[in-house]
Amino acid sequence: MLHTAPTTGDDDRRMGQEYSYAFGSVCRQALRAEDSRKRGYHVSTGQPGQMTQQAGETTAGTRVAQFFKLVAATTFQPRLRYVSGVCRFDIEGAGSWRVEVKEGVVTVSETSKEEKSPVDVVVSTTADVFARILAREGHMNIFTAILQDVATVSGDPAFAYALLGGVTFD
Amino acid sequence: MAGTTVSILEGNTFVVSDLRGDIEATPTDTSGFFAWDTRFLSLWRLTIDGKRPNSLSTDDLQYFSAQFFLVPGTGTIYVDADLSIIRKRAVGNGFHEDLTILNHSAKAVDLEVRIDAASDFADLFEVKDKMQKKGEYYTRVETNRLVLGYRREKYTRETWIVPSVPADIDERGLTFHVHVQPHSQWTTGIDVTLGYAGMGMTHATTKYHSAEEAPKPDMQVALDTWMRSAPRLVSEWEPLPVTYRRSLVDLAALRFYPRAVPGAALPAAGLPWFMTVFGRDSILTSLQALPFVPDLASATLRTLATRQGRFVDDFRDEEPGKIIHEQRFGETTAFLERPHSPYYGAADATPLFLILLDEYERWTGDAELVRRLEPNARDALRWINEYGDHNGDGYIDYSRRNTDTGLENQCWKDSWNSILFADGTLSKLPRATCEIQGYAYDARVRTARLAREIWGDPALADRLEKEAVELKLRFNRDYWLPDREFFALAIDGDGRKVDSLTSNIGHLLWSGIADDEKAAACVRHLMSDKLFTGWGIRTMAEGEGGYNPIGYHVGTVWPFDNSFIALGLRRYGYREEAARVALGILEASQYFRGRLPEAFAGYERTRTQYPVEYPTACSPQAWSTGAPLLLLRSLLGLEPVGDHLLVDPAIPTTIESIQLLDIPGRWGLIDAFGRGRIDLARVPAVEPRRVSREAPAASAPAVPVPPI
Repeated sequence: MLHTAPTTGDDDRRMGQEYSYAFGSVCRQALRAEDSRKRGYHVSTGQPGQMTQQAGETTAGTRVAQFFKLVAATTFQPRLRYVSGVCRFDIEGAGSWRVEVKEGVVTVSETSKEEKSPVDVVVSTTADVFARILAREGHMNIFTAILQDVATVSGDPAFAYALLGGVTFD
Repeated sequence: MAGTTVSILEGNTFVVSDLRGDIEATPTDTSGFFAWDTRFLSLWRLTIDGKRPNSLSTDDLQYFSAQFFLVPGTGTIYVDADLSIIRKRAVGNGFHEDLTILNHSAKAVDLEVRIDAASDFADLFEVKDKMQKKGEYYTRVETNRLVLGYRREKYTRETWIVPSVPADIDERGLTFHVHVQPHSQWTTGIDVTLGYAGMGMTHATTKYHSAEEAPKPDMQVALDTWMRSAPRLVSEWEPLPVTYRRSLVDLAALRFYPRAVPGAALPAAGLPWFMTVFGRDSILTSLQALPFVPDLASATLRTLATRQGRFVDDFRDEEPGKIIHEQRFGETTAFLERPHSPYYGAADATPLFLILLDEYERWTGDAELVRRLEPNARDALRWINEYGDHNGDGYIDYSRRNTDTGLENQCWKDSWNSILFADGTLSKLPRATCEIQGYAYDARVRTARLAREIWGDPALADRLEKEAVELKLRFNRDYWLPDREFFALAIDGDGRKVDSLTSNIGHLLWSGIADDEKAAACVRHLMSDKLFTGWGIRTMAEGEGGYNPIGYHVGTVWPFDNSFIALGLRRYGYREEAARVALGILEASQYFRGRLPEAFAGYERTRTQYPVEYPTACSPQAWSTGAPLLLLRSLLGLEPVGDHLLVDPAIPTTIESIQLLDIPGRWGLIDAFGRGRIDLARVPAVEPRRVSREAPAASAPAVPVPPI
């Protein structure tokens, strides 16, 4: 089974009080809650405060857009200090974002597929798949999405994997 | 299989064929054209007028290309063949093959040249485990192109076969109707490319083409630079330079280029089946190679950091801060029938990551990378303290979260039956093997140095040092078997000490966790006939219930294992013993033309006279390739001390002398010289007298001991 964060019991202790978690965890919580309750869910990010949304009003595209908005709101990601590069996410049904990482400093801007500025990695998929990746729904991650041909990548998917896993919202 | 197949590769793309260049794979056979853990061709068979030619010779001197010289089957040596057939193949973005037929006769000939082609699109795990396919196959004949395909949901893989001259193409292959003038020749090129949409590889053109007379990939250009940048070795003992050069060339072949770290390469685990990112294997090989090619370590650290665990995921055995075990890209991984996307089932890779980080900085002085990886190192430390210790007893243990397809043993001895009691019975999970506690100790000591000197966090350094001291005290109490006088192999799920005598105790010397007097007892065991065969130290001692000289982890000799044990022996001042182990392994390498196998049988040396190879799928194997390098370090006693390199040779007289010139490091380039002064014939393998002194801290240099 896939654990969510935060969890209860032993794993709650293990996740640690100081261990911040990625938006993926937030999405995962949300999706699981959606699946099980089919009603509104509570998104707790720790930053910038709490948001409450109704599942019925939330599309995958909205969730994806929220993710990039949250990333944009952060400036420094310590777990990304060792990588530098630019990744463009072309998410059908949500939009395109250009995420630049330079020694931990993350810059996010909305862009388009047609944008010609150089990038190291391009990830292309649908909003539904990307939301599942963020939520790790059904163990989906960027690698399995690419392997299943429900996402494509040019460049190294490990960069996108590190980016999605390394972004935290303290 | 040895000697009957030809393998060429570039990165994780490789072709394994017979000596004719043909591929005729059965579902469980390992020949074929593979890329990204998938077999894109399982049949590739050449016939001339319906008959298969015979092989004259094969040239596979380059690891990315091969030539096959064939003649039509005449059936007798008394009849000269009028035709020669040359197949020239180079792998890269698929592969390109030039097929040439030479007519040596005075008459023109008309021939039907046929290539039969098919693909089972088998996943590497399917080849290994005889699994059934769940999707559907298709073929398409297009204009001058044969397409072989496989589809499962949206998962699609295709092989495109495109000849450079017109051919009759059907769903099973290509037929060329060839007219060759007297003393003339006919040639076609054939491109075989793969379609893999997810990875953005949709039938890209092959890297090499017919027009290229001498295909030379980037890898080969880099090989020259690679060889030049490594230290130069001079030794009168002939096997040593041969083995050294073989190791460097093989390490070059094993380089894996992650695109997330442009221009950098880390060592993959083995060729051809393990050309992928591994945690343990890449780290240990990088450690072995640090004095020679330090860039491998940098790439390894950064690549593993990109995949460091962030979540608790039972399926992948993932936990926050954990370093991966292995990553795969085939169909079973895609559809979550295997957890390798990536898989985190290794309990030792995380402390080893920290050990490599410190050792890398000690050699290179690259403090900047240590600064950048600080958050990852802290996550790794947190994993050691929280997730690594499942039952809260202060020791790292493992018990797979994925009970279906996860690895049962998550230490380097990862076969199911490796952790046995002395009576041969299997220990229970979770298991806390002893060497992992040593790594955890060493990781804390080393990371304390990094915290104090580079991160400016003396509080963390103090805490880690305190934890290390406490761990050492507890370990020497809890793992010691007073009646047998060595450390238990593990503590099992029932809290019992697993009392087999194994090579694992040698790793405790490398990590420095053993008290001196206990180390002395362990050394006596390591050098006894029960463990030391004359070639090297067995994984399990003769006489133990589970011992089997041809058992994978229960009696064979592993060169990589011995290389770390030798370094551990040096650490505790056991110079002669280290020299004996090093010499045994290096002498064994002669029987493998310098390329040490993953393991060889644990028969005593006097019984077989030569080391009996244990059959394994991969050759070369990364950490066996690295073993001679670490043994050289041991023999020369190389230890960084600040910005200097300490050289303290302990070399057997058999080797006469070693000169290692231009050793790269934070000191620039430096030379090391040593003469063979240890006459092993005059020193008993097991010496009752033993020096008792405090083992140096991991970050401190080995204390020089005067030569005998």
